[in-house]
Amino acid sequence: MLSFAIPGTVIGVAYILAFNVPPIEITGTALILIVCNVFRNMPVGVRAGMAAMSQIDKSLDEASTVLGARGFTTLRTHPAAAAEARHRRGARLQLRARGDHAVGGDLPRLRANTRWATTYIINRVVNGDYGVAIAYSSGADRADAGRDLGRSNGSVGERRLGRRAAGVRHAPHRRARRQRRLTARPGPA
Amino acid sequence: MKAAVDRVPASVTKRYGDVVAVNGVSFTIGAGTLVTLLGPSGCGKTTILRMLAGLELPSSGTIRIGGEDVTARAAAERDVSMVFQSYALFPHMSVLENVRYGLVVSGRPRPTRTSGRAVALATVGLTGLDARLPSELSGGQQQRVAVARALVLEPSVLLFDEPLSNLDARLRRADARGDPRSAAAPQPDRSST
Repeated sequence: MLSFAIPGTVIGVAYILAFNVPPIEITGTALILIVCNVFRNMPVGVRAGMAAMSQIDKSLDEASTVLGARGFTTLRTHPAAAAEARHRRGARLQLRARGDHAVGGDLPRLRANTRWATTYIINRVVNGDYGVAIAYSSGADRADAGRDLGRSNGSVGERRLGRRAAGVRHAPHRRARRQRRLTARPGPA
Repeated sequence: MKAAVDRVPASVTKRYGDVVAVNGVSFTIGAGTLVTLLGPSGCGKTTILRMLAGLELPSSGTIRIGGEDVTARAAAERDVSMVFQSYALFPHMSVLENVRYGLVVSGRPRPTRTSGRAVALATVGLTGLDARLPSELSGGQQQRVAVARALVLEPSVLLFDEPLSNLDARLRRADARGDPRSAAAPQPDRSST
């Protein structure tokens, strides 16, 4: 969790300094952005994985073992498969939210004449125009929240709780898809 | 039960720390017999089944199946199938995928797999429900899938851990009658506990 405790700027500067000299000289390349973001966000993935795994019923593993599956097969076919959907949804939401923020922070730096809302608000505070600054901040917060919520609903999808609701609304095409898959593969995989 | 289950000569004991779950149990079950373990809650019925299935290691004692010592053998290496109290159906797999899972992971030849799963589904009256997910089945149907999944492997020892306990009274009665329309097909005397 250290990467969350340290401010992002500090981590970014640390990466730049650490990888500015051989043998790993990646400062100034796209790779350092990827590496930095991967390691910075890794705790989220690890924690999400642990949370997803801990929710899986232990008896599923036992059933798989009793049916003759070895440890790795059991891990690959059950916990991993069951957690996959949750991971995918979480990852999509995380990508959207983080991507928006990251791009939002980077783009203004690319064009000097672009007015950056954050800078504008800070300047208003420095000038003592607190009312204007608060108004802009509130607007920015609401826009951010609305965008994130809207996108998370769009990307993650609605909750489908309940067997009957799920069966009535979604079963026909899912069943048809599964049936097609089974028909296409008459023998077991 | 195709093979005899023996617990000789040493009686089996299972301890969890200071708690003794199974205290010196010793019995022999003949091949081809159906045995029911009866006892109050917490007396160790499930622990005995789990030790037979290889999901728990006895603290002391020996377990033999078909005359062979399987005490230290992993669950996947024993010719034993178990129907769990909660059924433990794989939620992301369809009925057919659940039933054929054991055949696939055990690496049996393809013709055996195909015929085996069809027979198992027909045996428990689930033909036509192949593509459904477990969440789209009733409690009785889920139980039948669990039974089919265990039957399809044709194990030497078939263990049932209170498979009827999750069904309501009406379904249990229908199950006991062997009514395939509303409950599971297997006879109740196949239950081990």
